[in-house]
Amino acid sequence: MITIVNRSEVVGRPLAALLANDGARVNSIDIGGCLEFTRGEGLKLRSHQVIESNATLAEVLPSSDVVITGVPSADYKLPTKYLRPGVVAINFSFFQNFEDNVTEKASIFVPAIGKVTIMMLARNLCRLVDYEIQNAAQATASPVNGAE
Amino acid sequence: MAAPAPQQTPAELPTPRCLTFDPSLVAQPFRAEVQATVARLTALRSGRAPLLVGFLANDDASARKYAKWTGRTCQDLGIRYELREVARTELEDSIIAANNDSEVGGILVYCGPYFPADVLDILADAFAIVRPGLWRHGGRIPAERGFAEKGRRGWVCALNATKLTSTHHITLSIVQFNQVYATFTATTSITTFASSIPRQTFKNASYLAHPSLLSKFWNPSMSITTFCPTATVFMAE
Repeated sequence: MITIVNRSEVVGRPLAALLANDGARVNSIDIGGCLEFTRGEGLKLRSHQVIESNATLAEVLPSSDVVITGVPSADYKLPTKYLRPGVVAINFSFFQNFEDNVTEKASIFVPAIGKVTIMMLARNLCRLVDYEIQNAAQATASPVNGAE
Repeated sequence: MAAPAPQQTPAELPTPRCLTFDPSLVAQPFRAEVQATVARLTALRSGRAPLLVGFLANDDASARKYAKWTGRTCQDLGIRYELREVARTELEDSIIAANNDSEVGGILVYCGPYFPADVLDILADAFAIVRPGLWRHGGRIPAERGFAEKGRRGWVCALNATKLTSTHHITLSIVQFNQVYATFTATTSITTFASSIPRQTFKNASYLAHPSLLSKFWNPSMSITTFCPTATVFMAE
């Protein structure tokens, strides 16, 4: 079971859907409550379903193998006491959403992802410029390639 | 703590401890790769390094900070980075202008916190406006042009727009804090996926597309394991 604290259109919701499609039972939690993303008992559904849920963070955290946070607030701290021992804790928020003592419970803790994001951005940029060069070369080689 | 009985806990058993991931270590192998690529591209373009343009259209401190970090990383990698501070009302026109500038390799928009969804829509519309221009630049008239012309709006349109061009390769990322909202890329592989292109081509594009691309138009049956051919998402729409 996975818990994601954030259901933004940007990361939280698509991530919940992606993971659910991969077979995880995902509790997607935001300020308004919890939704469960699941492919159902025995993964019978081909793609995920979203189910209304009344569960609270305190209820879902003790059975969550992975907890992912993305709360855009310096004040938000996910209580370590609810975490399952050995949990994989991932924070993608700019702010540190886990308490300092999360490492006492977690087996793997990812405090931030920003540097990887920027690196991927740079990598994208390189590819784009590279493709542009390749395309320009191709256009020179075959000028027939479609005038509009 | 009392010493455990030796038969129960062999000395060689490691103490369980948390493995904390340092994101910079994860980024490290890519750093060398990107640096090498930037150097190669700069040489190919007679000394002009790839140019990334960031737009900052708000006073948010975090957005500014993020813009600064991006700049620092770019500098480290040899990428030219320009932060353009524009009024909120000029953002749309500025993006269009940068998009039409062939020197610009990529565009970022720093949204700041609580970036309203309707502004994202406005930006998407901005790209819908850009689209015809891109088509004029692009040589090929793609098969799905009709599809895009049916008045589809939003990111899908925007993405179609960028992917259709064959001369401009632009990436547009909408960024909040350290989250990329959406990255639009125009690449040869994405450009051509619409026709019967072997799946191989998509693999090439996997890193070009950020998961957040899915934000507006993810296919409900997508999963992370099938995520690589991101382009299929757009096809499914």
